[in-house]
Amino acid sequence: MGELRAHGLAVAVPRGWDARIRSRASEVDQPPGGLRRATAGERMDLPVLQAASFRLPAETGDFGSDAVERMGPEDVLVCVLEFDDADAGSPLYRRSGVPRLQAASFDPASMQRTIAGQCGTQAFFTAGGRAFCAYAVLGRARDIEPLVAKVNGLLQSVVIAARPVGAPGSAR
Amino acid sequence: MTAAVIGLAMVVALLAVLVVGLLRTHADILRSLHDLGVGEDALGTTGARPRPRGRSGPALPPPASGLRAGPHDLVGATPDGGVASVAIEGTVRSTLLAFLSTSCATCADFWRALGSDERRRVPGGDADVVIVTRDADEESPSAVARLAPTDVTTLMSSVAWDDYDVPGSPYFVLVHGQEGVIAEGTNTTWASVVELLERALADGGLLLQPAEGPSRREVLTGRRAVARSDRVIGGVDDPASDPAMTADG
Repeated sequence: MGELRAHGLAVAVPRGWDARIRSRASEVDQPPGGLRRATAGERMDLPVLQAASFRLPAETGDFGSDAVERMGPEDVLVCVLEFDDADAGSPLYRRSGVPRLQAASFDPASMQRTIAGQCGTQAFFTAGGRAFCAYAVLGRARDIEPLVAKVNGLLQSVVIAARPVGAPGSAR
Repeated sequence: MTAAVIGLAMVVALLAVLVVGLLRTHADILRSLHDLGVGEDALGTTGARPRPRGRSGPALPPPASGLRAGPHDLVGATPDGGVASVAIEGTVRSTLLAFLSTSCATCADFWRALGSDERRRVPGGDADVVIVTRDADEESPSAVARLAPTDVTTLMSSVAWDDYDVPGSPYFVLVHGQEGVIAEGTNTTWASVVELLERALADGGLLLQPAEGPSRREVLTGRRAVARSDRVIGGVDDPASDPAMTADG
């Protein structure tokens, strides 16, 4: 379809996919991996990129709530969420660059909310001095290699720019 | 006395010249409006924006496939400062594109209706609604954000207006990812747009909700045909007679 670019993120959107890049709410949701919450008064400008092989509803949670319910067995959902710059390079985010997800890592128990027949995974990483989590959901839990290939194809197109000095984005 | 008569004659002559000039200007304006397809009947009966003649007249027959326009994907800014793309082409679903403006008075009812349960009256099965305004250089993002329903995808994309050849706002396009544009047009209220969409789909044999309305056979051959408005829904025979929906196919 083309490229979407905003908030220092860019992604090539495959034909037939919906995608969006938006700024997250000022208070960061607790991700599945367990990170601290931003405290009141902190300045946050943390984007989330969402791409789906199906129609994304207007109101979709950071980790795909209200969207995964629409998924069919051939569908995938990919979310790339940024967290506090202070976490970049920390042990949880030690992986460098946008990851390539492994089929073996997908598990029904890894989903933000378990939905029968679906599975998901997440991977934390640092890119451009920024801390991210890549979260993916597959519409089925068996014979998932073709779906994992879709996810990785999307992730490999994600480009993350280094945050300009002084730009909002850190909760420090 | 003679001087006064001559003076008055000159004044009358000057006024006559001015009146003739004004009449000519008025005629030019009316001629231009007529060329744009703005007719007194259309404006008087519905208040809706009439369709430009060039878009629906007999000089523009539909393609051989019976479809007038192919589907186009949507890409644009969102009122919250992000960007989004909505796939249309190649998908297996219908989407109602609502081309609205924050400044048009007629659009107010549509912003309201699309933010309420009335949105679910969209014919065509499980069609989603996407609101499309013009870009930020023509629309205020904050005004769009204030009017945009949170549960309806809203994009700011002048390109989409061009892709779908939108003549003005409000304007509605029901597009299917594989069949292309299946109905389009405008009217003054959401209720009338829904009614005209249903009628346009029925006339095109595309009504997808038989459980909630008459059957296609009934619509095409029976009572629904009798109840059909005198206005030309197809918009081909007399585009100036109805500014509303047209169905292709």
